[in-house]
Amino acid sequence: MKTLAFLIVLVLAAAAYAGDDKDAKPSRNFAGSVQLDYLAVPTDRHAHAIAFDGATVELSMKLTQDFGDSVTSSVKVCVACHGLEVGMAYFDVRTADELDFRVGRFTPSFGSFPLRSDPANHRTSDKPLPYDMGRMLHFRDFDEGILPAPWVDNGLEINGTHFFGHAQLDYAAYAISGPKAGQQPTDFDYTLSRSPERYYVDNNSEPTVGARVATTIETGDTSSIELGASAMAGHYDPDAKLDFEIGGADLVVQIGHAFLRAEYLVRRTRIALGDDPAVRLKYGPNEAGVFDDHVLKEGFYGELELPIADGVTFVGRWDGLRRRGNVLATSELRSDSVVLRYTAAFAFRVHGDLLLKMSTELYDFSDFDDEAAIHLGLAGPF
Amino acid sequence: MRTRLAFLGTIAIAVACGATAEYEPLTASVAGAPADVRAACELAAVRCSHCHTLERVLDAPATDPSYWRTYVRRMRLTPGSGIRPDEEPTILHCLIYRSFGPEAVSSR
Repeated sequence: MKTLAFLIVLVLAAAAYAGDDKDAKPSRNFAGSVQLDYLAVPTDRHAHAIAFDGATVELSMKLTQDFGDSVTSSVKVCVACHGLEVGMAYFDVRTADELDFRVGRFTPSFGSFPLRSDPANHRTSDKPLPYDMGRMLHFRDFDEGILPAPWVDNGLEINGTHFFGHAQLDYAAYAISGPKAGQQPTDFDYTLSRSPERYYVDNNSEPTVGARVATTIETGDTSSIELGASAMAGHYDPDAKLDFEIGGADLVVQIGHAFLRAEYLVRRTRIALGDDPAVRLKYGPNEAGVFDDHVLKEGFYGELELPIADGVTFVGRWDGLRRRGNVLATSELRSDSVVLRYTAAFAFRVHGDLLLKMSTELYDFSDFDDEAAIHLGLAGPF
Repeated sequence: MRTRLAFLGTIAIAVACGATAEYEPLTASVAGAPADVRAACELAAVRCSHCHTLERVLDAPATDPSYWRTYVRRMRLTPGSGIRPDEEPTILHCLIYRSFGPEAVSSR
């Protein structure tokens, strides 16, 4: 409680300091994007059982208001598979390049991809598997990615950036409401972060904390390397007894307009064994007679983005997820389940700022039949 | 094995095509501008594409030069933007010229 009081005082003091900008002229900016994507699964006639196939629309609308150089408010609403959501509702109070207080509902700094998670900011129809938010095949079996993007949550983030000659150092530290679940969970329940059951309130009276540090080094006039590391930890159940820890590392290499990106995420999650784990879980106890109550979920992607002709960009991506640990007796997964995916995607600038996105994905499942998927989408900013 | 070979083959063809592709829409949109503007836009294209597609820039509803000043500053402070403080005026030079013409640049 003392920490919270201290932070509130700190933000108010920063706001008072930053607000002393008498020449400031407020400016307002409205921006948005829309993507219509059609997902076909030619290898499965009843793909709706394993995926959100068919047509989906993702719409986002964002309003940013600058109050001088130091205070900015941002509000963003999104409509997608899960209905209308508030993706942003926060204030930035910046006292210096190196010190910004972000307060409200926002995407906490974790990894590299979430910065580009808006459909108009990346050239594939869907997201890398570690950040999947219900677009992968068998998403229910894997319970989506490791940290679905954009992860949106309520809280406070302190972040900043500093340039050392041709290098940039970024940092962020935050306390947020955190992922949620009901009683006796075996993984996060993402619907509880947005459903009317809890709307946007905390479920266990305890914050989740996290941090990120990244550096971008200019290696030439048009080339750079960015390296980052992120972490997040907390409890996700209502009783605040089941902990989780997420770690991530990311790399972005830019050479002109070509990008090589790679990320690795790992999440260790304590699961509820229940009153009778021998009945509830698929696998029995170890030699010592103890049930392992941890699940390890890892994910990665490597991606090459390359302009190949006037208005045409190619993206080749290899990504995967691995889940190790016990599963519910009803689950089709095993104690060690893997999915690897190969994606070849093309984005064509068809008219003005509109992008036509086409991609083919080949899924290699350890526990299910392999599948192929085709995306055809149209995306653009407005 | 066949899947992986097809995947690697597609990437190899794309890399071969990409090695000769030089077109990007931001610089192309100021093809007839003075050399300093084109150079500024080349820098802007490299920095802006780090976080988002360049279509975002082409489509931005700038109503006056102050729009770009606020916007570019905010973008510079985005983690990993790679936009150094001394590059802010150069990127502004490109964007203000592109949106409002040479008069706006000279009166800046």
